[in-house]
Formats: sequence, structure tokens, C-alpha cells
Amino acid sequence: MTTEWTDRLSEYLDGTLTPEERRACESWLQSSADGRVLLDELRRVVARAKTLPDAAVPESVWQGVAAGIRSSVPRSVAREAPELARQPLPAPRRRLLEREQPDADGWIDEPARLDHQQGDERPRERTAQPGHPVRFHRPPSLDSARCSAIYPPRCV
Amino acid sequence: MPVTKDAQVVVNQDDSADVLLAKGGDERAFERLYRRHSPRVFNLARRMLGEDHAVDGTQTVFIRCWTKLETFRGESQFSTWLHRLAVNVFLGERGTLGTQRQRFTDDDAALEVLPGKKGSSVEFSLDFEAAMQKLPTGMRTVFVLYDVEGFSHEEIGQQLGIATGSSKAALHRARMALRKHLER
Repeated sequence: MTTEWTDRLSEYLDGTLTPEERRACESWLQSSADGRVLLDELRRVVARAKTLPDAAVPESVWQGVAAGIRSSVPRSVAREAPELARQPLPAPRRRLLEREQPDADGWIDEPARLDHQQGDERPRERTAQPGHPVRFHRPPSLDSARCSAIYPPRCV
Repeated sequence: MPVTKDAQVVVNQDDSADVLLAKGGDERAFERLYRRHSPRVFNLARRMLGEDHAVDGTQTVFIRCWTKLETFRGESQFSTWLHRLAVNVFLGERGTLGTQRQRFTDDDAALEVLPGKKGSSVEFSLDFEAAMQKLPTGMRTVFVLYDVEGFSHEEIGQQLGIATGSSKAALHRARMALRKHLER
């Protein structure tokens, strides 16, 4: 059973046929028992899709979200440098080149990063060893002074 | 224990207050938003990305939500804005996960990935959702967005970068495949 209308039964079901097409399809349905069976099956698929049971969200999801938002751009940056906050999120788990050396203010040039995401020009915090200054990544468009103004270096 | 979709419909007047607080950096307010809206996002992720990537996908959406919250103007409901954000993230994630856009209007080969029980009619044992996951990515995406999430073909076409007619054809193929896995 393959006709033009078997391929368009979903459109009939969804009400997206023109009035003329709809009449033609209904005329075909009246003469085709197989067509009526297929239409009923498609109706049941649609009904099933509307009643799919949902699964509970694992608690670990929030833990990952919380860790993620704490390592994202601080609100202070978003307020003081909104052009930076609009940049897309960097790829997670970025690796840093061992040869990276921070400048006198603790900033590291972005181009030195292996997997720098193009277009991401926010200063980023780098995990530091306890007792050492936190390192930051300086986007090419900002000098150290501007970076330090919106994201003051601090110690952990 | 499964929760029905109706029980999770979120119409919460507290959203606007929590959105304001979260915009100011209040993580607790953001967590309240997360608690209210994560079930829908998580289940959308399950269906669009598959079980294996649902956790990562959901986390990405809410981290993105946190960073983009400044751009939410309150012109639509927060839930609507978040849902759009989630769909866009998941469509992007498909590429990241190596599940780039596949056939949207496939031939009969697409139906062969969903074997039915020979000799029977349409009632088979394979779980309906498991069958959904076996659909080619493009078909599954259109089916989820149209039949589960209620997007129009025009919206789907815009989001996926395909013609409206391709969306309709993919939807019909998906339904035709899934009808073999309806429960009695």
C-alpha cells in the first residue's frame, strides 16, 4: 500500500493540507481500509509522544552546574565589561601550555593557549597552587591594566 | 519513578523574582530556577542527545543560562527563553558529540534500524523510547521537536537549516518507523 496519500497522512493528521488536498485525502481514506488503519497508527504514535514519561534529574547534574557557574565570568566582569560577558563560553577542560609564563601582573597571553576558542576574549582564572597568585588569561584586546581593573588578581 | 509531563508544567510566578536575583549573582536564586526547570531540560536532552549525553547537555544549558541571563529581558516567560536556549545548545552539541546532521528525509534504510517482530502487526515489545533513540539523528530531532515539544515545521526548519518540506517528510518517516513499536 503506497500511494501519494500514504506519504502525506501525517500532513492530513496535522491539518497542514490545503482544503482541496484534504478533501482528496478523505476521499481516498473512504475507499482504503489500509489507509484508515495506517492513519489510526499514526494518531497513536502522536498521542504516545505527548505522554512520554519523564525521568528524574540526577543530583549530580546540579553539582556540575554549580561548579561551572562558579568558574564562569564573575558578575562584576559582566557589569563592568559587558562586551566580554557576551563572549561565548570557552570549551571545557582547556589545557594550558607548560611554557606559559605570566607577565608582571599575573596575566597570561591568550594566544599562548593550545586550545583557545576563537572569539572568547574574557579574562579567565587559572587554578593556582595554594600560596601562589591566581593566574589569569589576558585576551589580546585588553592590556594588563584593564584586565586588572575589572578582574583584580588575588591569592588563594 | 517516572513523572508525567503534565506534572512538570512549570508556571511559576517566582521565576521573575529569582531571575532578577540570579542576574545579580545570587546562586541560590539560580538554583531555585534550576530546580524548577531542570526536569524539562534534562528530558529534552535525553531525547535529543541520548541518555549518555543528557547530564552533560543539561549542565551546559544551565551554565550557558547563567552567563547569558543578562540578555533575558523578560519579554517572554523565562521557561520559554530557557527552552529555546536548550534546543539551540543541543543542536550545537550534536556536532560536538560527533552526531552531525544526518539524513532528514531518508529512504527505507532508516526504517530498517527499527526492526519489528516478524509476522505481527504493530504491537511489539521494543520500548517506544528505545525505538526513538534508534532513529537517525535528523528524524529523531524533528520528531522530538514537533511531536514532543510542539515546535512548528517553520521553527524546526529555521533551527535545523532545512526546508519546511524536509521537516514534514522527516516527521512522517519517523512516525512511520515508530508505529511498529506502539504498545498494545
